Amino acid sequence: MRDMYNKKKVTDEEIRQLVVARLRSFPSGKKISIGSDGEFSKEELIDRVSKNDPVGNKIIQIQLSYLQSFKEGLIFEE
Amino acid sequence: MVITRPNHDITTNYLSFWSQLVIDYADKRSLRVIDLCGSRATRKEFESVLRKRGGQAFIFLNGHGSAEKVAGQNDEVLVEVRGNDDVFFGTVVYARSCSSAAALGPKSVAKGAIAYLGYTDDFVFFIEDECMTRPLKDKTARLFLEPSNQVAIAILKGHSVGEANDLSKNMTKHTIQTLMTSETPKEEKELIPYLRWNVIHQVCLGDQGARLT
Repeated sequence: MRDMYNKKKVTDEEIRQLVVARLRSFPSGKKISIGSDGEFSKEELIDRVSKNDPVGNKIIQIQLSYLQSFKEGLIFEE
Repeated sequence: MVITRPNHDITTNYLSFWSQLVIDYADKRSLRVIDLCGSRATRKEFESVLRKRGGQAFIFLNGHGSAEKVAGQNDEVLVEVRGNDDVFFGTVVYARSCSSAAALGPKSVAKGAIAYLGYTDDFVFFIEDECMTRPLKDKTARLFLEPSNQVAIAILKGHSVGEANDLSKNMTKHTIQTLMTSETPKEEKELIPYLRWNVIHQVCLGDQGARLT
């Protein structure tokens, strides 16, 4: 019975590592514009995610939102 | 149409260039355009133009923003909650800027704007390094900015604001479906989460059936 409640929780660090792994496939020669925060290359994004700063957190939010949409079967969740 | 298009950094410069296509469309249809470009995208000029306008107007804002404000040249605030959020009275607004549909949008509608289209979170797009000085040649930026132009063009065509919002979103959804196919290189597939982000945060507030007359 206890095992039912013993699901492994994903830590913030594991989520960061997952997002960094996904960012390694980020297109080269391109930057992403995130409003007034500026424009960021793949390397800069990986750095920001690793540092856990606001830009890094935004990227994590975008990636997690996308991944969760598959789980929920609602890619456009409208 | 009243359009603001600051151009003081890479992001606003891209938006400014891509907005030119909407202006070209309006010109072709002989629609009146008041273009507050670059140094003209100031609060003083913006408020002056809106005060002088006669009848219903379409306002297309480009620039940096946050939940409570949209900015112009050098990030000067053009409109903000608890400041001048009544300037949109009787107008249809499309804000291609981050987050303003979260607070400024609902407040504007409450204060008499007919409709407010925009984004409830950051508006993101990709740029190609080699196109920075030629934004209209940027095929990656096109995937993000063409659908957002579609909002304004559909409204100018006479579609209702709700239809314009749907047409724009459907254009991005179609791009996403195309990118999801197996022939798409893995790198290009990485654009999908960011395209999707814009779609799920793009909203149309107010009277969905409103259209320019």
